[in-house]
Amino acid sequence: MDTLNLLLQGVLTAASPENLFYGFAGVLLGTLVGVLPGLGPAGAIALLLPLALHAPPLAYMIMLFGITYGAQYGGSTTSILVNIPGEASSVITCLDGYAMARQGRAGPALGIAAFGSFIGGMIALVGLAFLAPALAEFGLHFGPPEYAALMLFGLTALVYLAHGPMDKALLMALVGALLASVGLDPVSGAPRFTFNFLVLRDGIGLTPVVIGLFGVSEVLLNLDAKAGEVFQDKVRGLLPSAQDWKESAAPIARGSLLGFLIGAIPGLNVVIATFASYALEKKLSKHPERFGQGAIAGVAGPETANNAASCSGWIPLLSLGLPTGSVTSLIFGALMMHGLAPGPLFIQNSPQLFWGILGSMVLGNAMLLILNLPLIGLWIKVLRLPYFYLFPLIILFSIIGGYTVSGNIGDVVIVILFGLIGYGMRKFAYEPAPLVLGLVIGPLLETAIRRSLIMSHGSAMIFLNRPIAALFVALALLMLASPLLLRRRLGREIVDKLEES
Amino acid sequence: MSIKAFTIALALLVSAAPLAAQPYPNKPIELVVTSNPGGGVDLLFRLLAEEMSKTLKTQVNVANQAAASGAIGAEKVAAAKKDGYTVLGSLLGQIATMNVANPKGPAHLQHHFQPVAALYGYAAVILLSRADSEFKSVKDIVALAQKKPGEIIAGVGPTGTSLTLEIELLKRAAKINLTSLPLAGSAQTIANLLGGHVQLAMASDVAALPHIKSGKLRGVAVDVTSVSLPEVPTFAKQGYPQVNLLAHLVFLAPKGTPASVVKTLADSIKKSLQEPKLQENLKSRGYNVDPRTATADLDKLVQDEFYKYNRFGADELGWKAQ
Amino acid sequence: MKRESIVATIWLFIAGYTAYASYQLGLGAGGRPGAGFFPFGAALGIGLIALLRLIGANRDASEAKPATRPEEWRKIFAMVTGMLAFALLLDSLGFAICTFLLLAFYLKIIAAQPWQRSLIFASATAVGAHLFFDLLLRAQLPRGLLAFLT
Repeated sequence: MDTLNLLLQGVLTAASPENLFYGFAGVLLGTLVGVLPGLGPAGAIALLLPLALHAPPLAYMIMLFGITYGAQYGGSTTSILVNIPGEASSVITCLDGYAMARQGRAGPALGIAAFGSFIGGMIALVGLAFLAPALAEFGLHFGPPEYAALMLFGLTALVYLAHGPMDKALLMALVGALLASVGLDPVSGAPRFTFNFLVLRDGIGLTPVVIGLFGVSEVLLNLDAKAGEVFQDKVRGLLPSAQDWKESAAPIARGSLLGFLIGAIPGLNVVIATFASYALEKKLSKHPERFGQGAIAGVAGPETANNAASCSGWIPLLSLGLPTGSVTSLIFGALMMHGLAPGPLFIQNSPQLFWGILGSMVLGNAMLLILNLPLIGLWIKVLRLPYFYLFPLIILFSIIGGYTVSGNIGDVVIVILFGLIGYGMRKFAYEPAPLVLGLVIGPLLETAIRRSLIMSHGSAMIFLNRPIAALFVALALLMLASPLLLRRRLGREIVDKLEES
Repeated sequence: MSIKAFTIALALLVSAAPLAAQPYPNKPIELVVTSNPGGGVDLLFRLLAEEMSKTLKTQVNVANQAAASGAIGAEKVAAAKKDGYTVLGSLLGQIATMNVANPKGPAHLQHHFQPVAALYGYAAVILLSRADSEFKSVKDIVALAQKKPGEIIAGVGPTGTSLTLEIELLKRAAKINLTSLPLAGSAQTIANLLGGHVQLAMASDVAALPHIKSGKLRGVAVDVTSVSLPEVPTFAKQGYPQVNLLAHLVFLAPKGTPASVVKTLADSIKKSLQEPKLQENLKSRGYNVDPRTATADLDKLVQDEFYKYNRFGADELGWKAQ
Repeated sequence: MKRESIVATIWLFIAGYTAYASYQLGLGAGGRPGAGFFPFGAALGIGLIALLRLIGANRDASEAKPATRPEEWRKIFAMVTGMLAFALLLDSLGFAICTFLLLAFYLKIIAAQPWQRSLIFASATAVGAHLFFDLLLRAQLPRGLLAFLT
């Protein structure tokens, strides 16, 4: 009851005109950078850092936090409309969201993404208020061996991401892992596959790769399309229908929980939460064959999970003072500029700030929902533009997106290169999603395994004699065994269906 | 006709030139910082740039270029116009390590840059143990490591920084064997120490401060006396003066920048640092900044830095050629 | 079927090269994998899958799309040339001018739209993009020739 009171007080603090204004500015800017591929919350916050020396601390922090979750709302927009993930965390939304848009169902897809983000954000927020300190302690139990086991488990999602033959998906995942190894090896510090290019020392970024692989290749593939071939002319619905809601309710609930839990583990990428949610929904679905063809559950689950994860992602920072990602490091820096470095005693020592930020997130999520729903009509109009206007704009935004990641021409070249590679992959029926999975999980798995073996002086037992690690290894084996059973079930269903018709 | 137009244009250009030659500085200055925004290095440069904007009466804008361990930002400034409108703000060791490992490589401190000012030992690196552990001093660590070589695990990282190299120096100086676990930086080393996955951790003093205050961690030793944790003794005081890779921040201009411009910049930095409000600000955030030494012995500083890192192999510095 | 074999051969070459380069990086020893160990493993995996596909052991009827036609190739070539030119000229000409050139090129050459429409749309986009990215978002995009427009 006490917590609820504090949260309520936080909402009241955040509702002061000044805080409300900063909050609105934050979520608006967040939505904007979220919609724009490449430009993300990190860039926007870095841009606003100089303001820290002049703005009042609470209002300023409310704005910065607003940018981070605002970006999660905006990220799905371009994924659904033109197959370019606005944020890396919306990459999985491309699969079913864009398929829905092509069928004239961009409205329901955008709508469920916004509602899902809202519900996921709110549930995670309540979790954050009540469980932050306990979860922070739990997160500390994750050392290198636990990460390694968890990533091994995450890798099994590959089985559910693949649409076509398994061996091609595996090959793509391996290629992704190989691409991820470009750059400085985080364990030994040796440069790998950099060919003495300075820009490659930092590795191949996730964002330029997904922009090229999804967005640019889609344009190259559609160059010869006639009117109405890329997007169906008939718009079917502006908002999710009753049937859509029925199919999305459970995925949203599961996505909230999954996103919240994964986000709370320090150092895990939000992308992983979306992959996990997608895999889970496909596994539980009665119609897994619809995934990739415009299943609304494939949008609802991951889009909920990414907002929930980005919310619980604050736990390590706010309750321990440990910034474990690039955005949290920036926020940490901003707090430092105000002389408010968070640590284990942050919630005790600065309750007004902590609860004010949480309260602002309640208001901010509501603002975002109200902001995003009317925008849907506008976005659908964009799709009605003739393709000869649309495709140069898509390419332009892809290039700018690549450039703004770090201000390097090299990243633009990577966008172009992966546009061509993506085109080739589509032509030969190789799927991009497993490659992205390999790119995200590969390096985490590798460094975690190598760090573990340094800790154990080379003994692999370290993965089995620590309880959490052993649990995830067992789960991973279980997941690998279960598709055999599932596939048999799937096969039977198809046979049944054929007999019916 | 066209020749006439051309001469007029030329005349205009020529007459415009003296207009531009107002005393330095007459337009915004770009300070390229080779660290990520929001970090400790970036924060200090931002606070300083804010103050310099006042003393120089022109905007000093921070632009972050952290790519390739700062090499790309350094190259950019080295190749910039030598007019003092593009300057580099960097951790000296970042560029020195790159030069030591690869003298012919990009952006060399002595060949391409003119040092403007330095902030000697601006922040401390701290060796941490858990408050409930037996490691109260460096002596305790050395004693156990001699009994059980390699069993103590120390969280370090990233490669090439003093957070990794100082543990190497301690191993050499005390002739002990510790297992270094390379992690991504202070936040990770502290998290792993709090979780009990490592027994020791290297971190920046500012990052460690709240955890020492909360009673979970203990400061065992620092490389330079910490502003925020003055009670923690240095390695030198505990018998290991070799463990000393003080991190310095430097302002660098492209080599060949006019001496008057360099002086204007240096004076502005010195004056800004003397500003009581900024001093108070820096101190409260744990920075160790002495305005008196800001422009002293800069060439020797660079020399010493090369000497310092020459003790390490290129792979230890993170610049192994491929 | 022939196309599939060519692709598999390309994968084999990629696998071969990366396996060699990873080996050079060092595979590690004593239970401690080195910098090259995991890339080496990935390369072996790619090579194995490619080999199986090449000999047809696991060839399947996966729906490869129809081959690219010559006129499609020309368009793709023009598209990529436009993007590369944008990347190369960005620093010297600046963001707004590059945007104009790219859009005019795409509309006129690839989409075969009338000159007037191409130029109007390209100028409008360039001005809009400048206002939006440079002035509103203050993204660090090169100004190039238009550096005075701040």
